[in-house]
Amino acid sequence: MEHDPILELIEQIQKGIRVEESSEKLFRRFRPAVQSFFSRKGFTAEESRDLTQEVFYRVFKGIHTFRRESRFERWLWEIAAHIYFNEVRRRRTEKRDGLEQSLDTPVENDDGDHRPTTGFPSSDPSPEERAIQGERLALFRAALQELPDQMRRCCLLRFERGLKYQEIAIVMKISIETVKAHLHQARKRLAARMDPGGENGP
Amino acid sequence: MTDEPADLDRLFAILSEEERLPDLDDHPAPEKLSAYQADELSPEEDAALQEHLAHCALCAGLLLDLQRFLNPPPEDLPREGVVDFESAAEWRDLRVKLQDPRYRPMAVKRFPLRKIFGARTLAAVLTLFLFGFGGMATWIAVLKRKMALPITDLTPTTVLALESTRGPAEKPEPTPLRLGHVVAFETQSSLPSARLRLVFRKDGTIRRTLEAKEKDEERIEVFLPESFLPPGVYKVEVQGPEGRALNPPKEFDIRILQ
Repeated sequence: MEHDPILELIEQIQKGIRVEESSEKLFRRFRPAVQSFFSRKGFTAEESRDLTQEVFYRVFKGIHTFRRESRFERWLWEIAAHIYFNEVRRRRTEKRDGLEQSLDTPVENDDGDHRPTTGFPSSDPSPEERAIQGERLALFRAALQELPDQMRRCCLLRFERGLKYQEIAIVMKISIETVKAHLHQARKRLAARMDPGGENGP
Repeated sequence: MTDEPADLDRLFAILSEEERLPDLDDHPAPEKLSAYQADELSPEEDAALQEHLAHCALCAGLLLDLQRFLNPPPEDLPREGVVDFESAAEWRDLRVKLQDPRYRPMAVKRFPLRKIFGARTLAAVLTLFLFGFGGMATWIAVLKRKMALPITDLTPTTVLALESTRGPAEKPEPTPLRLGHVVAFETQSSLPSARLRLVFRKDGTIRRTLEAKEKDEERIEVFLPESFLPPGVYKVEVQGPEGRALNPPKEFDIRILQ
């Protein structure tokens, strides 16, 4: 931590040594990451630039409050996340379209087999079909609840939210192998629960 | 995986459709998310946050962003050996904002007319309006006074000498006065330089009063319009501002002509 060049830059700024030069270095180093953060959230290039300026305005106005106990990147992300939340809140208040990017949107399927399909079949089901579907859905919910917590959460992130294995591993703070094992087990258990007498049962 | 019931994916999709994003106020603070990432939460808090993440694409996405901040891909880093004009321009803008005490963060473009409806602008417009209104009212008042008392335009001036009324032995004839003129009263410094009150009496009854101000130390000038009083003899009393005890009123007679 002592030899982190970023923390050294911040230390110089906090001590008033070469403030201008160090601040510019810090800005140039992290501007692409912050701007990319807002672009991925669905903001336009101009909005992303404005929001990035706002993040760094707060960074430099409050840099004396930053304690060099954790990484600067974490503090920077916290500021960016606050500004993102505020902006989404403000836009919702103004009854504009929300800008949060749904993680359920289709993404390239490069490391998993199963991506969630979207919605119901195109033709409306009959009342009888709806009743059967309602029953199956209730059974499925119950089956999900019976899974161990971490396995169930991995399932939701994968099959409902559409996250990749690597992303689930980061969010759940587990290894990618554990994610794969959880998902494999979960599908087997759910299949057995949903089709207990079938040939595909355990 | 091909040996699973075909509708598992479909059931997940239906659940996904039915699930609603938590309200914006229900999300954990970014500090809590980063504490979760850094394993700084208690086991209970950790489990509760994992449960939230399993249902919240927004927070899961933010956590992935945090990971990307901590381990940036090459595209999130400045390119080595490339002159970054965009960053240079952005830095210049930021420097200006940092040095400008009037700059407010959150100055993201709200809506096109935002600047017009800013609180400061509104205050400035209101102030201008009030000052403008006040100025106009003052100007109208001055204009009215000028129209009512066109002193400088009126000639001739009739001069009445107050001192001539003194002396009990003398009983001078009332000074003839034609209305529509400026009337000057020679006070000969017997009255203080202040606002004075002229009382016009007839048969002991007050008929008109008039406020006037000494033009200099020895002279009062007032304009008496033609409709001021009907013709006749009047007693004029000039009262100083300190009252009768300090300034005994001066009296004289005038005869208002047809």
